[in-house]
Amino acid sequence: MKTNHHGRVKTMVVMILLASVITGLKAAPPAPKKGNIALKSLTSITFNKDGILFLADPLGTHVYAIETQSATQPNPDKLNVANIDEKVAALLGVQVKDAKIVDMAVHPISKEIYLAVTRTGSPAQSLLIKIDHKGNLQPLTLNNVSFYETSLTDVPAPGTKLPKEWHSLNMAVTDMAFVDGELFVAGLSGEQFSSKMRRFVFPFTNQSQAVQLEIFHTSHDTYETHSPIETFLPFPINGQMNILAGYGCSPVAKFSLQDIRSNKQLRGVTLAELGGGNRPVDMIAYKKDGKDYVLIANSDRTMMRMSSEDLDKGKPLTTVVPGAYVNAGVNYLAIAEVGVMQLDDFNDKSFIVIQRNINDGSLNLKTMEKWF
Amino acid sequence: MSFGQVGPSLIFVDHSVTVVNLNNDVLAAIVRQNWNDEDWQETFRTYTWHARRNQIQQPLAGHYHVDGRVVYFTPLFPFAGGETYYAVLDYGRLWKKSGGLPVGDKSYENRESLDLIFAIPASPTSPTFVELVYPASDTLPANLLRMYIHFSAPMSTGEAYQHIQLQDERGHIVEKSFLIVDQELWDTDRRRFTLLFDPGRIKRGIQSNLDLGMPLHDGHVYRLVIDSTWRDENGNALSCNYEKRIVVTAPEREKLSNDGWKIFEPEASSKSPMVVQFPRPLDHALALKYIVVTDTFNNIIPGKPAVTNGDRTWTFYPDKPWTAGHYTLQISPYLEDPAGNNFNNAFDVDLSVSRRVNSDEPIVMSFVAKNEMN
Repeated sequence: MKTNHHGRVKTMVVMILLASVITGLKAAPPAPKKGNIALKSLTSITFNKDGILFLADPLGTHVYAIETQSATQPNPDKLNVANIDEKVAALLGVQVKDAKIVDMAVHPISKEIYLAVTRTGSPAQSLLIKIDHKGNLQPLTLNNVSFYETSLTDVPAPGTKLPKEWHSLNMAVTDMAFVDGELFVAGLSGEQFSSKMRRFVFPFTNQSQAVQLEIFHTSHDTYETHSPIETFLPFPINGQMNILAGYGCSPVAKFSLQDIRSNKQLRGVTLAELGGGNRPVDMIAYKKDGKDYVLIANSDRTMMRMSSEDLDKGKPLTTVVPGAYVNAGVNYLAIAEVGVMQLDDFNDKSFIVIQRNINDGSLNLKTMEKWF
Repeated sequence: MSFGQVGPSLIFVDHSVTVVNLNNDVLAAIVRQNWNDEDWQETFRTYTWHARRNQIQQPLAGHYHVDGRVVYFTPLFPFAGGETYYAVLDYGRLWKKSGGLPVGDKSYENRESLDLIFAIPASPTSPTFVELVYPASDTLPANLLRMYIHFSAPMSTGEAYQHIQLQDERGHIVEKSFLIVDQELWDTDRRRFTLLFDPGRIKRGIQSNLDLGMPLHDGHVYRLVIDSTWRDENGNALSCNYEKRIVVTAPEREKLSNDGWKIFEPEASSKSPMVVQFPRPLDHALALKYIVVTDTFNNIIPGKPAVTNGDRTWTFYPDKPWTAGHYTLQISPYLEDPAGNNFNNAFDVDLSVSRRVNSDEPIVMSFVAKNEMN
């Protein structure tokens, strides 16, 4: 290489860098690892449409992705596992108080149901349980599996002078969803009050960088605050993909996917206030008679249904609701179902829920017909 | 059964339930069929006593294997201390499934099930207790955001919010004070729990704040009560309740500033601690993490920090003696006070007055390690 001209060398360096960036982009997708996954915790699970299951292990500061058996199988109209908490506890050899169901996801192809479960003990165990269409429970071991992994720890910006300890992380993962080639992870720090949305391109690469997004919503037009997202859902609004985010106490805000991808900080648009004293615990999208809907399960209110049409027409909420527990903004249909703790779409005819029966206190996994 | 032969039985041994003294021919026939766990579970099951009593048709998950003349069932997770189990072997079915019996032999029909009840003793452990709650100070602002509860041993998860109460002077519970995070905020050892006050009730201009009011009122006294039924990792209750008194002062709505921070410079050639005093308390965990000392080349000086004096004093014990010369205290802009204000922004940014600042630049303060004047 001739080095007698400074500018030329610089240009060449830039070109080489560019070339390596381009080849980096064109590189074959990374191969999965083979081995054992030792979960320190498991707080959230979600599938992509190909049946890749994502597992959030915030105490281990990792997200894992595993391939699951995904043969299509006829799925029943009805599925009922009464006393699911008792069954899970019995399977794990402990009492109900020592086995907790923390999340649920339905396999997009086989329609089998996956539970994330924690078993108290020394040490505490986190595991997956699969429920087949006969209602049989089967623990899934994560030994000798093919998997991808990525760290949840913040990656310092290039050239940063901040000590690396400042990037260590202590967080809870409140929800995850797979959108358009990327895993979105909503988290809340246990030490610093920030609510961040991280994006990970999948398959995860070694250099997989979390893109952080600090998000704010205005419940009022004066003060800007950030709050933890309880649950979120990719959902098209006016033809554009948005993240619809449910917050505690309990506004629902939208963030356009395009804005999320091009910003480091973003202020969402609050579309609805579901009414105070409540937390949305799960949100799903479904179709009924050709129309699109969002279904919301709540901690302290009934289930709610919002229509895509109403969301399209939603105006930003900038005024204070007139009193405690009053709802505002995009309207919802209150569905006469309470105590729904886990919610997912199942098939054309039904949802799957884990629901607390308020008459006898039992916890049941069951299909819920799409009447509405 | 031939005279003198000892019948089969179930025995609990070495973390497994075993079947011993099986008929040799029956066992040999089964081994030839190469049963998997599912096949075995049709015949030989273990239940929790609770599941057995309540007819929950769900046996324990686990693995089966045959070694010599013994069949072993080992559960996926160890049998739990303090729990009682029930194991049952359908001996008639086993006999029948073994096949190879002479045609017309109905001897299996009289074979009865064998069963065994066994209890696992609770492991004696010293009780877990609440070591400390931060902020350490009793005097706290009305818009307090975060508290840390430190335990002497790892805790169980999924029940935290049932065991924490805020009570006012009359002992009445202040409802809906805390932000419920279903996934719970623990450190990696599950020995530190982060408790957040409901931000909706601390923030200005949010309806729940206007209607319900802030959970803590200036001039009043509260108690944070942690009840002893909160269970540790082994499922055992805490040794006793824990209470923290909270005397409430005016809300802290200003962003952090290092104005008024006092550095007490260390002595060169000694391992004397370097001390920084703040006029108002900082978040305990973040102050331990987000303040570092660097040399003139921006290298971090190794040592141990401590945060004391009601989270108003940061003390740094260097691993090696100070070299005479200049040092820098570097503070992350994301360091917070207990009300969630940091160096960039107050917890609530009033958009009519200011814009949100987003800077990663550390706040720096210089100091010098000098040799003692002689």
